[in-house]
Amino acid sequence: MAEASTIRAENYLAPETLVQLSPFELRAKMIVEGVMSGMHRSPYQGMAVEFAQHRQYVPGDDLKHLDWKVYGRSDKLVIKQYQQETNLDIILMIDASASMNYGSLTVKANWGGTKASGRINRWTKFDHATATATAISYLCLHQQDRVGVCVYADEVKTLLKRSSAKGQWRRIIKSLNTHPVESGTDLEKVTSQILGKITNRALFIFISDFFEDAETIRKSLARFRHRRHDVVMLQTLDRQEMRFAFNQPSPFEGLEGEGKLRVDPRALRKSYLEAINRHNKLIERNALSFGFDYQRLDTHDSVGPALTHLLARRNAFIKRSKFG
Amino acid sequence: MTFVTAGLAMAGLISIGLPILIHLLSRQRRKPIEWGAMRFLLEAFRKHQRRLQIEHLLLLLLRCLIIALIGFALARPLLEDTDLFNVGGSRAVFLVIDDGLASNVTSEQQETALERHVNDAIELIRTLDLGDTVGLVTCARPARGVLTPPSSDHNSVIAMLEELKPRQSPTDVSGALTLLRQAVEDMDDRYDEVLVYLLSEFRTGSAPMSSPLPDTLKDVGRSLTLLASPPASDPINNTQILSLRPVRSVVLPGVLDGSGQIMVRLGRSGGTLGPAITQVRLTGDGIENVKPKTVEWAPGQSEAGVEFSLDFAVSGDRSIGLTASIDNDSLGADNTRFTVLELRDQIRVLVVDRRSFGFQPTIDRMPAGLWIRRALEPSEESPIEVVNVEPTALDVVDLRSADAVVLSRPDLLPDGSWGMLRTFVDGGGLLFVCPPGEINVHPWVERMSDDLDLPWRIMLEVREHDEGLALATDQPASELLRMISSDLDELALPIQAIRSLPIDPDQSQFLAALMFEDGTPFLAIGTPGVKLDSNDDNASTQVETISNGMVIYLAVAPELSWTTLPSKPLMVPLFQETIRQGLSLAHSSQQLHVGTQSALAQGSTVRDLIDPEGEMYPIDAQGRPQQPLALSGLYELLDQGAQNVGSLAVNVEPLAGRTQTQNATAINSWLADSGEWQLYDPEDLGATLSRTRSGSSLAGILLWILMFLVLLETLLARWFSHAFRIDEGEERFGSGLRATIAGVVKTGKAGAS
Repeated sequence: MAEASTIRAENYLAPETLVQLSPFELRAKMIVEGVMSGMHRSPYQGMAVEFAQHRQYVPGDDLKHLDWKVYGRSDKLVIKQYQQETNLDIILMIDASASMNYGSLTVKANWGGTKASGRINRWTKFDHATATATAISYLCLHQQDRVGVCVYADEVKTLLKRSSAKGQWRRIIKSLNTHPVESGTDLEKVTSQILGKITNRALFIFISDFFEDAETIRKSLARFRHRRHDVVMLQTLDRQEMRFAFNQPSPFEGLEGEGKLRVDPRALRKSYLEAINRHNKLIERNALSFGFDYQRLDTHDSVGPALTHLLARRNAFIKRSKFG
Repeated sequence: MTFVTAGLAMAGLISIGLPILIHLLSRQRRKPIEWGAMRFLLEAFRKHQRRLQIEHLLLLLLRCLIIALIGFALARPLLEDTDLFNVGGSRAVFLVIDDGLASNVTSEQQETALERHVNDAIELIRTLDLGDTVGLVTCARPARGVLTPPSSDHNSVIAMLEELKPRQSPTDVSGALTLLRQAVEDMDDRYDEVLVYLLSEFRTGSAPMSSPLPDTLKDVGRSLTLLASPPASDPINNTQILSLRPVRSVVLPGVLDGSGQIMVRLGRSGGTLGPAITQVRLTGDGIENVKPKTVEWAPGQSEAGVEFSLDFAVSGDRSIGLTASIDNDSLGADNTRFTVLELRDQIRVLVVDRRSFGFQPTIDRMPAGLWIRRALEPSEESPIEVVNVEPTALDVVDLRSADAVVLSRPDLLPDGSWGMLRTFVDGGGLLFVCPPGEINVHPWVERMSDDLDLPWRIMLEVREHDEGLALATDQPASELLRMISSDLDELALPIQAIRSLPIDPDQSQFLAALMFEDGTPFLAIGTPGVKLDSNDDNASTQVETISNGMVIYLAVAPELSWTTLPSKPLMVPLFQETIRQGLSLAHSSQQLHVGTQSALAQGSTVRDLIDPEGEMYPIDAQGRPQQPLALSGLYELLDQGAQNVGSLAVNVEPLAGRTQTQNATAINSWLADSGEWQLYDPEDLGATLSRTRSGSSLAGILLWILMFLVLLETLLARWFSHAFRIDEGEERFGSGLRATIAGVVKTGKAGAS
């Protein structure tokens, strides 16, 4: 398949989404260790642009940092300290497990979506994840942050190196667009692999349906927290998965090899909805317990509103906190 | 429990397979849905698997039950001993309809009696309940169980009634009631009430008071309501031909013995018999220009006769059919009558006697055979050809060519010869037997009685009459000697018997043509297999019609040592008449009546009968038609090679066409012998239907249960369907904005619907 020829970035990033996202910034909640100057707080303090605090002079301090004005007013020797602003490393963690290949929203034939959705002419969860990743990477690259992409399923499938170069955005889209969506999920293994490669503090944005054991997810999040990474969880679900509005008894076949099951969906609907809602709440609670952001995305809705909601909430939080 | 229509119950049971089949087929149809969130579906399924299976099974069971109940309810099961939810009946109504000859009587309204019966019956059926069953028996002989056992399909019964046509045979109420009893006994127990309607006008032809009914419907073992239509009260006159009889059935053309005379007797019945004129016509093959005869009826006269004299100049053996007819009247079938005449050049008689050799014996020693031969063949021109046969040499070939056999030495017959003679008589032959004159003890008489199946007990030893036994001065009127009856008393007077071997009159049944003065028969007539009714000297009751011939017994040996007969003038006319008239009588017995299946005189040589309308009646091995003869007329007789071997006259029974009305009391009394009958009011036939019934239909109960089950199924199906409605409250993601992703088109509803 000649994927390159069918890639159309505008399929994923609508102008109105850009308009909706343009007033917002994706800011790190914690101090990041960037190498370039940027809009994020650096752990390194010095002669930077933004004043941070005063501290008591101790012998050995460079006298040029002494705040003479304070000494003149109060006869005290204090040193001026400044907060260094740096750039943010953002890693987009895209779930490419087979369950992401479900979609109930019909699209035009020959629309040229992802490798997976092109087969079924449906807007899959992976398509939505791709669109979300595209929007976020555009925003981040625009604010000079470095963006990398990790596509994972039962292991890390693809890891696109972090970069803030202009061509990074297209590389991201191409990488996602042509990626197969077929394996099972092993988040624990993926966590080990990715944490082994990313050593500096970064913002990990998970875009997944999180159809995995909630405890496994909690353990993975704990490891990210331990490494002082920031995490945003974007749970991408199809509307049909949340409604289960089937009317006729039909056989259901699991996309991750769970086998075939003939059921009357109306009879199981209530129980099914209880199970999936309980799971989703558990995922959300885990995220919040570690101080991470959580946002649920509906594949039948556009990306913009959900992301602006997330960014607005996140920025408000940062402004209220001591980092603001 | 029984069903009115068991087939529907069976269909209902079979139809249970339908929901099961649909259930199984529906499992195979759908294309699988690829599903991402399978783990949650599996979790939900494991939690509710057992409950869902029970729900499905319960619904399937309920649907099967509903289908089976529909079949059962439509089959109308009958429940005993309850009157709950009663929607149908369980009565059996038998219609016994008179379709005999008298039912064809046309009223002034140009409507036959049968048409009125059919209309009444249809009206009755239309007042019946759906669950009631109707049976149909017709009375014309032979009575037919047209619809037994009774059926609940009322429309079919009405169609059968409308197909009924009057038949020409007499009404046989007794036979119909026998069939009815059989049908009632064969019915199952679901009928606690059986109504029998006898629809007849009970005119004399339909209800002969002289023939009492047997107690057929008494002690049937179940409750019977017997209802008879009231007898007709409107007198309808009917003129009929009672008989068409030639003086001799076997005619010898050219012999002036009066055998060309044909006698036609007419009868009138009905209401007031006023003066009238009836013209009688006679037609037949080769008979032309016979002038019709006119009967002028005097007021009150019920019987009359005319005589035709025919001249058969053309010689040659053949049979011709004769038809007498009168003008059509209220009953057409008895206005015509038929007979068959046999024209013969000669009559061949076998005289079975020991041949005498040597000198001609003197008169006083002349043997019986010689006397008989001289009596039969007094001259060269005699139309009777006599052939002498040795008793031991008698064989089938001789008998086949003979018309009559005179047995003067029965004591010398070998054992097998009596059987051959029986076959000969059964085939319409005439056998004349007299005792041999040379012996005193006659053991052969027992052999004769047994082998010929004659109800005679003949003395074994010769009775001596020292003073001579004369013949009675008043001789009985016998058809056999009718031609000489006027001179018979005078001719009989000089006859004396010195010895005789008489039939014991107390232990025998016979018809006597001549009697001794002591009351024993001098000349007796019998037919194998036919016994006389001891209560009626003039009528005979046919026990088993297997013989068409005749046996004549002379109680003396025609020798001068036994009797003076051989030397008296009676000798020649006695033997001539006995042979000629006996042969005619034997052949005239082959006139059959409509509705019978009697054996033919020609026996097994005839293969088929063809009636006047071309209908074929095959003849069985016993020489009987395989079905009753339905029409009067001249039938063709066909042999094995489909060649015409003669004709057969089939007539209606004269009594069957009598149209006198009879009063209700007499009819009640006549019917009472067979059971407790009541006459119903034909103007209000429906009122006779009793409303009481102890067996009732279960269909009503089943319908109630069915309604409940259908309601239950509807509720459970709705409940188990787990149907849901998605409302706006469930729009929990996003703000309900349309997807604005470029290239995405919502071309259909989300999800597999």
